[in-house]
Amino acid sequence: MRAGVIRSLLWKETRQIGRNRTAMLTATMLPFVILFLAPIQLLVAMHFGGGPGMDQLRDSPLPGFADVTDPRQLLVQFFYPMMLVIGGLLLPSLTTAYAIIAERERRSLELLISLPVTVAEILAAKLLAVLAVTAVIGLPYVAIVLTLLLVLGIAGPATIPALLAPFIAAVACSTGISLLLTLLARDFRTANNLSGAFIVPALVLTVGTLGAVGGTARTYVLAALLLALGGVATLVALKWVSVERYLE
Amino acid sequence: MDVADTAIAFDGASKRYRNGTLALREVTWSIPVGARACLLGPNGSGKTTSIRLLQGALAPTTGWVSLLGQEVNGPHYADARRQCGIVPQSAGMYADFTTAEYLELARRLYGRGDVATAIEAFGLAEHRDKRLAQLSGGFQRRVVVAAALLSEPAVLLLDEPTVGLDPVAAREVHNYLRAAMKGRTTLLCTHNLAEAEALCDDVIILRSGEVLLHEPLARLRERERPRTRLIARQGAQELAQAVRMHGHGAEVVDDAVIAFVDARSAAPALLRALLSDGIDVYECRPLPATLEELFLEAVGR
Repeated sequence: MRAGVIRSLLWKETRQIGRNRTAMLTATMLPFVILFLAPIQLLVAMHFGGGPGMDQLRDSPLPGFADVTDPRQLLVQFFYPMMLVIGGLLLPSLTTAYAIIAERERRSLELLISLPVTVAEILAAKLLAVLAVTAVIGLPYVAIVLTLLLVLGIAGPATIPALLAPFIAAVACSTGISLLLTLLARDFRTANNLSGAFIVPALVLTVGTLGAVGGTARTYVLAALLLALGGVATLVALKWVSVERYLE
Repeated sequence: MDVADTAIAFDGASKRYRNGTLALREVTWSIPVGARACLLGPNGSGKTTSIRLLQGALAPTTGWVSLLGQEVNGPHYADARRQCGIVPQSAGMYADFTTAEYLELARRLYGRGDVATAIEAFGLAEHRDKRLAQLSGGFQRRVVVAAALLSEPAVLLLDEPTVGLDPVAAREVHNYLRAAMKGRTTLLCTHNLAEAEALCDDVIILRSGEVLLHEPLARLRERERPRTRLIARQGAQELAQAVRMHGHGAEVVDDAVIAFVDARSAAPALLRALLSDGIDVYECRPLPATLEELFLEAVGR
């Protein structure tokens, strides 16, 4: 793969994604709610509110979290990792589907491959564009929430990588899964539905892993599992599904 | 043929799609640098598959394919590919890219070329900032041809370049192509036999993924049965009978007779004989077979 070609294709992809109002609106609003609004609300409720919810969590802890005596620590060991994973899974799925399916639906892939590029370069540029859009939209929200955790003394510096790891892994996992589902799907709607349906097993995996693995390692184990899942999906997409079916 | 002189080569190349369709069956053919060849064949004969193999979008199942001496998807293929302009078959257009932006993308990917010159040369100045999807079919095709020629490529691959265009737009595209093909190796895939005849020197006929025929158009013409069209005042039936009496084959087509004689060597003597027989022949002209007839003969229909 040639870096110059990927750069040129990246220029094309980011322009096209940026010009799609629906894709941009969904890609902006969804993470705003999941990665910013909901975590801030939870933070305010737990840190400043106290109340019956806090007492209930202290008296009967969540399964697998008996070692967490301070309910505020549940924020950094359970609630925030879960929100970051949901946000990380949802954020790239729509843009991946748009970047690939739109090319297929308008039959412009034929136009693109008439230029001196390879299919691998096209896919690499699309995935990089998705990651770039995800980073630009998602990371500022995550950064604000993590800064608040530090400022309010809820989390120490060691917690930051422990929370970032599952978020980044979820983004990578979602990109790989979305690539596979998009190549399999007939149209944009099917690709979105399939990606949406994938959230449920991913959440089961997230809650299960966070509960089953004790201590501070839980988010890193979750990140490793998500990365492995995304890697397998990407491998299957490129090796067995492939873009060739679009050209047959 | 020396590898250095070969622009395009297929050597025992087959392509089987994932759904089991065998689109190409161990085809072997090549065209030299500077040749203008057309790839003819009915639907599903493997024309577009051949182009996609050459552009590296698909990989052959067996055998190999080369472009300008470089095996497709081999280590130096990328350099050869940048020497090749491709006009795809009725591709979809980007609704979110303007003419200038698409040509800029092509310039970046080829690593050379001048967008402003291409826009000027292809009469696209008025449409420079219009979205591609807003252009008429003829202008869209012009943009695609402009992108293919932007980098002054050595090889042109044209996949049905005028399909779906009205006659006026098709003629405009032909004019651009005729100028662009000068001095360039060209492979033209087409259904349009008049287009092939007007633009190419060599013919490759594919059927069911196999090469049925590959030879210069002129040689193909030499193989055709010579024919002369005659019309007489007495009518076609009487004229045909007279022609047969002089030992030549004849066929009645509407009000004329197609005599199977060579116009240059045998028709004058036949004409004299018919006139002396009292048959008032008032039209006599050679009848070259159209490429369509040669094609249909070759594919056995």
